[in-house]
Amino acid sequence: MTGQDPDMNTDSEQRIEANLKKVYEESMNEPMSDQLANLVAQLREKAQPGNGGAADG
Amino acid sequence: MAVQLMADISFEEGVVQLVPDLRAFGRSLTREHARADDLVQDTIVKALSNKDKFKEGTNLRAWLFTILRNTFYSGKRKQKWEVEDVDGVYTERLSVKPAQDGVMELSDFRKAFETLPSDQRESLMLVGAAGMSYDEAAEICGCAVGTVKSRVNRARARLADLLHMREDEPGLTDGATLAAMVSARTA
Repeated sequence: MTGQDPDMNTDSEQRIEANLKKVYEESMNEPMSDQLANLVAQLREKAQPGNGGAADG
Repeated sequence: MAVQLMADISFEEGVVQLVPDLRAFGRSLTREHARADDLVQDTIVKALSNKDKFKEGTNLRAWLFTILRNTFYSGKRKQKWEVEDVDGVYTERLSVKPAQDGVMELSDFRKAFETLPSDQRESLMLVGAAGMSYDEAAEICGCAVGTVKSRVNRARARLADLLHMREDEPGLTDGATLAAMVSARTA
């Protein structure tokens, strides 16, 4: 995250930004759909060394 | 979160680390949890199939956000997913009653945020919550930096109006009044 937006200077703007960040974080942590969870699991597996990820070189 | 691909972090691992951010940005565009996850899934599939086009050492987060955004608008054009709040449907659902102690319910904030046009939602979310610079947001949105600043300012002003966050505006507003406010602003 970067610092506070220099163009944001009023109390209402700061409150908006604080709530916006809460909404963002809440969305990040919502339960994941099964399909997306499966895809992420496949990616994690592929990312393991020796399974074809870019880290293998 | 800065995810720079290095020799010890694979492309796939970088993508996995950014899934929460992609979900949050996707949610701000689609306004629906399930659609956001579908959008993230499509984004990942596209990213993997275009892996060779990603330049190692550049900003993977911005690259993925751009793919997600392009996928969203492409789908919107094809499926007419998103209907902007021209008729005040979202706003009619919104009844914001600021608490006497000044503490706002997060759900009310989210509802108000979702009444914004998608271009304002994405700009505000990228700059205000995702920690992107105006330059990065402009690159992701494919527009000028000044356009992003303008959208962010308009989004903030509209939220401040809807949520009675201006110092000289302490009253209560029901959904009908909010709908009328939005209608007057968009007319």
